[in-house]
Amino acid sequence: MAAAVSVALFVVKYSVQDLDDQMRSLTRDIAETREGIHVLKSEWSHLNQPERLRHLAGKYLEVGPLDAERVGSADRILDGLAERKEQEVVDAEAVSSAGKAKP
Amino acid sequence: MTIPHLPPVSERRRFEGFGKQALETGRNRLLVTAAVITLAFGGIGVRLIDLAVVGGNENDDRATLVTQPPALVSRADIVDRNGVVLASSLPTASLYADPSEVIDAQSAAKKISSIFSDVDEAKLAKNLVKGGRFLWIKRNLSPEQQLAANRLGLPGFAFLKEERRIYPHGALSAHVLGATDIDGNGISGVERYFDHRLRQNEKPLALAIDVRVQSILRAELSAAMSEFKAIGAAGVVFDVRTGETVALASLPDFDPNDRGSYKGEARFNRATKGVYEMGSTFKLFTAAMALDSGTVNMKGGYDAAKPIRIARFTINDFHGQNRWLTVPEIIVHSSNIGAAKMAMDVGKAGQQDYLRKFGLMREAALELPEIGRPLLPSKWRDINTMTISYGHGIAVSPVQLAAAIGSLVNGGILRPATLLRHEDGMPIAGEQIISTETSYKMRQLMRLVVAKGTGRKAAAKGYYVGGKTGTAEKQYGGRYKKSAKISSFVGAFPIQDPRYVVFAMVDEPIGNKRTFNYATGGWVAAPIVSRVVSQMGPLLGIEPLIGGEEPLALPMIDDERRKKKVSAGLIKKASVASGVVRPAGAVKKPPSIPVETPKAPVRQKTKAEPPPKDLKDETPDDRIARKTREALEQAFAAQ
Repeated sequence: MAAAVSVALFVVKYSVQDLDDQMRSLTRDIAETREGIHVLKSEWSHLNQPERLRHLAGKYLEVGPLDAERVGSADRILDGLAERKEQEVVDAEAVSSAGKAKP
Repeated sequence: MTIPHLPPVSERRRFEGFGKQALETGRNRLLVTAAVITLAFGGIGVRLIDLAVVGGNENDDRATLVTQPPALVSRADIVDRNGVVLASSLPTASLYADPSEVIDAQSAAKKISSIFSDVDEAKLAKNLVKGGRFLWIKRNLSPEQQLAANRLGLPGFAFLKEERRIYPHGALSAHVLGATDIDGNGISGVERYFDHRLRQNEKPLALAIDVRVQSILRAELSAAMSEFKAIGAAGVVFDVRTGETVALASLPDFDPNDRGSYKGEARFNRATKGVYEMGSTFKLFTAAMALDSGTVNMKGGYDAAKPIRIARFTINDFHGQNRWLTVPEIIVHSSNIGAAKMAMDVGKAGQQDYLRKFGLMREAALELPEIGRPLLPSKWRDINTMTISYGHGIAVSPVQLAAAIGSLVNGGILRPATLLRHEDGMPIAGEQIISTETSYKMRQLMRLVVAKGTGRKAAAKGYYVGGKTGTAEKQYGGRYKKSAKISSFVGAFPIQDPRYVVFAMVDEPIGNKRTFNYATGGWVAAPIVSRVVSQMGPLLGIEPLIGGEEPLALPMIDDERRKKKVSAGLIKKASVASGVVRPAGAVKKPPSIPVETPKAPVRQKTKAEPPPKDLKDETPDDRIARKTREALEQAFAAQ
């Protein structure tokens, strides 16, 4: 029994040592990655300076700052659509009656 | 089993007396030993069960150690309201030397100075020879510099892990963030005010600032500053619902990354530390206190026909109307005489009481070390009450003014300005200082100034802005200097349900050709507010009102009022026609400012008739409708 216990102890001890090494290297990796994330966050913020983005957008994209006319609620779009549809109906009727009226 | 060599019984019996005693002793000892050992093993066993099955306390400690790694850096980040990093500490290495271990000081100094151009060889050699145990060579190296220094392999030189504070947005919010010294101690701004908090708690500190709005504000202030060759500018964007300071800028500023730029004038925060005589913007406070205390109503007014002479002073109007003015007219024409009379009716004590409630008598409670104390008259005489009514003889900081104006428009609740982001769901501190009705009237008055008065250039497309211009001469050595002005504009938008107060101020602007040499608040600062509003409104998702009518019913002023009275038979028609109402003073008025009203609605109602009056405003849909109609008319005409 003593022999069995000592073998088991031996095995456990080494597996614990292995795990410990693994943990240490993981901890080191985590610390490095965290440091990396930390630095990259600052860099991300630096690259996203509104002034810089504005400059780049002006240079490479055909978009400008949003103006008030492009902001609105869904209702406004729906109203606009309804109005347009109504107009189309009126136009169509007008055209067809005009067509009939013409000799 | 047989026991060998057992002595004969007779022999055994011989030892009986003495032997038995010895045996007894032995057995007792064995028993005691056994008991002790059993106890010990029992104890170990119990502890084993305790550790393995029940689980010991030590294990818990170890588990938390793994999930909570030590803080990466010793100073927390500062982020904006959306989590954008404004300040962060990055781990870096610094090079130092232990001079007592340096072997060849001369060659070491030469090698070091060959890598770092800013290290003086002769000086370094001298310091190394001098001895001692510690000497900084260069701090906060870049990774490449560290590699190069390491490659030299000089004995006596080593690296020390340090941190460097960096500001990814550079000068953008310099006056809010402040600066840190080389050891990472906050020396100004938020860095100093929250120095302790930033060291104690590694969680990022969230400010109320929005970098996008901040960027707009700073860019517009900077453009105005160079256009008008001003010595400085300041601006504040204040959320009237929460008291959050969404943007705060003061120019000139500095780049906190570059400690060399933190000096002189650039260190001065005009938005919080500077106190200024704000001029006419104070008339809003005068009107608010008069309306709130009931000494006058919107229909009432004062005679502003003649200048007021009191003591050695004469109070006169810049945009002289020289007649009796209603309260709205006093605000729209920015009449000093009218404001002074209005304040005298409220009285000295009432004025002080209201100014105290507006938070203009004590310094702002903003979270910055750079807070200016307002300048108040040492002795409050009648003349002080009069001049304060139009913003002279009292000096307050822009952030105080913005918060106080916020209370005029948000329903009458003063919310102290804060630089920290307001957590959702947290109650907002505020004190009702004027009635909601007075607040509504103030919004009407402010809108009137932008719709018809001196603040027309503050109009923004899609958003109804209300506000007030302010132009004050600066004092130099106790005398007002005409050429040195503080031109400002304070606006609130959307005026029908205000969300933000935008304040812009330009320090000593010089008028140019475009502004007909005027350097007043209406010409210099109002356009800044207009541009800031039209950019930040869509950005923050504030729904615009395109076209349509004024969202607030505006009180009638001047000729409109007269015309109405004429039609009601109150005034003889002749007085309108004869020009009595337009006195000679009107000639002095500045060239009329072109009105920047929001463009006509994009989509016009396209009913079949009548045809659109102005073909220029036609949309493609209108054109189709018109063509169709014309075709029809021709067709009918042909019949």
